[in-house]
Amino acid sequence: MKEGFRQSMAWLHTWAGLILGWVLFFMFVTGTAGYFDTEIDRWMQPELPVAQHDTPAVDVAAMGVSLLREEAPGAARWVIAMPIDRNDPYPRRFWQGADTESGAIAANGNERFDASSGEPFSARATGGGQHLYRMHWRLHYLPRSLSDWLIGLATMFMLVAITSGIIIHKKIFKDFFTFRPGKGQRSWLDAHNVLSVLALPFHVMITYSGLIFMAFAYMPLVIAATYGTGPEARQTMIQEVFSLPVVERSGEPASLTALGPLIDTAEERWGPGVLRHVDIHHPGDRNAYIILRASHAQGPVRSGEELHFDGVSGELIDTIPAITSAPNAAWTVLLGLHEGLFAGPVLRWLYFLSGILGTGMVGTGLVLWTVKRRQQAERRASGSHRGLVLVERLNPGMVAGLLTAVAAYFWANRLLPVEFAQREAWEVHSMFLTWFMLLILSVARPPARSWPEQFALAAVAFALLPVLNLFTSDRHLGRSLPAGDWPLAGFDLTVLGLGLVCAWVSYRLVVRQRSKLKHRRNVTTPTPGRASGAESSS
Amino acid sequence: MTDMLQEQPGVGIGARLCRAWHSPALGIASRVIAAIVGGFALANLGAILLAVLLPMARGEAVVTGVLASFAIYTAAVIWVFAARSAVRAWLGILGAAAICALVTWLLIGALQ
Amino acid sequence: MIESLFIISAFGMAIAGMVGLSLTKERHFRLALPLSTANTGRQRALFWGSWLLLLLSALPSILGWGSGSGLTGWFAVLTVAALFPVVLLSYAPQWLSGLGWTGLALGLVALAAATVSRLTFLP
Repeated sequence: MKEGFRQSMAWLHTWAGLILGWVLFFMFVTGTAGYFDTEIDRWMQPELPVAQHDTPAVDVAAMGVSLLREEAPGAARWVIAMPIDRNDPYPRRFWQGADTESGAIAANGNERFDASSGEPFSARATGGGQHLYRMHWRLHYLPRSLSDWLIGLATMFMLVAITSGIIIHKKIFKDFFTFRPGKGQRSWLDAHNVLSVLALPFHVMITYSGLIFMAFAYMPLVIAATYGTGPEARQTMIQEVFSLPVVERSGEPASLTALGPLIDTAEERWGPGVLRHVDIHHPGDRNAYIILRASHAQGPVRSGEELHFDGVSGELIDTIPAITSAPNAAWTVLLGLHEGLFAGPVLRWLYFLSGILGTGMVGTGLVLWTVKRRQQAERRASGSHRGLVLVERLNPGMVAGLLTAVAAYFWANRLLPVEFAQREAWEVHSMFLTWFMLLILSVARPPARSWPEQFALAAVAFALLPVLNLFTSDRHLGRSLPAGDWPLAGFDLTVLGLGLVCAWVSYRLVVRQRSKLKHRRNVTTPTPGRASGAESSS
Repeated sequence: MTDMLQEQPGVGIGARLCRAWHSPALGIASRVIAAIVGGFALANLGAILLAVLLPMARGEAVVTGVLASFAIYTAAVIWVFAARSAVRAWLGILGAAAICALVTWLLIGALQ
Repeated sequence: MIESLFIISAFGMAIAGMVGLSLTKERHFRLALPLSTANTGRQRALFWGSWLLLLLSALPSILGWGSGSGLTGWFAVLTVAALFPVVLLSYAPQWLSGLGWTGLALGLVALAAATVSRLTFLP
């Protein structure tokens, strides 16, 4: 540890990156897919109609309230979300604390409904893009208490890896554009550097903001020291920082005010298509309280102005601006930048691409670790490198195998019978089973074979998805393209593109492997062996 | 320091203990704990200090502190692995934590 | 439509800037323009011109995406633009200077067109 600052940082970078590297890779893959969550949703429920953005807010609110009256009587809160942008193609209603004894279908719920009929949709059960995206911070099969801390730890490791990575990268500006292909370890290092440095603003933003989502949980002592312990202290803090109203139920019934005039007030102020939530606290009570919330996707600030009304008289009580203070703004901007809800088509693709660069950064980092160690190990040519061999053999399954597993999630969506009761759960099981089997395959095969094989599998699994769509729905490319149905056509074209990229990678790996073998044979005529082969390549 | 010890082969139990204390594995383990646990404590204490110190509404100061806490954590980890020895790493973390705690305590006392 | 023109302009300028910046490194210059010689004055002009273009590309980003998203978009544009010289230097260095000029022309033309139409259709 006395070899100097840079060397200890290199050590730190290597181990901080590697130890949770696979978790980070999983987070990057599923998180990147999450930038197209609603588009994936749509592909996974092709029987649903195209997005219903043009429905007037007044009509949506009326439909929502009449549904909620039936489904969630006595609820503490009803919310109707408007389909104003790509983040919400259909209206949604959700409720909390409904009274199941007086006929509520569930205490809490969150369901979309059809803006043309005002009825709930009937479509296949699926986790959709939402579940895929949720995995990047929620993982799967793990209790929340464990996954939160694992994710937090991985993200913190990432932050440390980024920081130490910047410190050890001596020629960060000089080597900004440098990529020298076909040179073994050198090329992997170049690729890792380029992927990390070019998208550095994204990597720093996504990592730091990722921690902010659960920051109060991760830094528990701060609230304990300033507000005291217990859930009430936390509640007080949240109310102070994010200015939520505290209204208690009176127990005295009173009829809810008409929503129309309230919505008119909001639309006059914000213009059409900006009202996002009609949030009704204690509907049917004397103390009913209504919050109309403007879109939180108009820019990186992930909050909108709020209008607070008395829920019985309909009187405007309060107007809360989108930003209440500078720290509050920094907070919401970080969350907004992370989620990218405000991104239109071009910016959304740039987000997706940045996510791919991040995925590549983690992936090349994982490979680089093994390439470096393999070289050292072959130079020494003695001793056991069981850890190295294990990582070398797991990597193809972990990296390329995960891609195939994600494709398997989509395959399961179409192949599991619609009437199958647990299909939603089995979509995810299919994904993890596929990943698990590919890991076994990966461990069983030599890495030089395993990499191209795994990528070839991923290529087939992705590239055939549009064909699967052709046979299992009537919204295939032949229909979606002429109709300009971009969420669906975009999904098909994107997975096709991903399949082609995977095929290209697989092909390149085979070509390189062949040329390496030829090179090796030419150089080592007298004593063919691993050690001499390594000498020839170094 | 480690070099010196390696030059003199250990004789007594004291020397052996001393060598174990300076073994690289133990040094790394100790640093890892200093980084993860010590850094975590320091990040929390630093955030609390900011929350108390900053002349803003309580909620805003708390948010600022929490926002900064992860940068403090990262800096602490970097320090731990940059320090010349594990003992120095620990001293740095504990020293900074003590200063944060002391200033916070004095400020809270002064405010009451 | 006008917004798209601004975004195209941002990409053009950023690509030109990144190509120019990559050419300030001697090895890259020799790869991309084996027939020209890199003198110091020229390299210096290339360096400052490229930085200027990169900074200037923030303008059409903000005009195209609006103030808040524009800054986010600008960072993303810079990232994507930098990928071009990286890939071309490895696989087709002879196209690099051509791409730079195309980017510059596209950036300026699109910016001019967008500005003119914005001024014309101003409510």
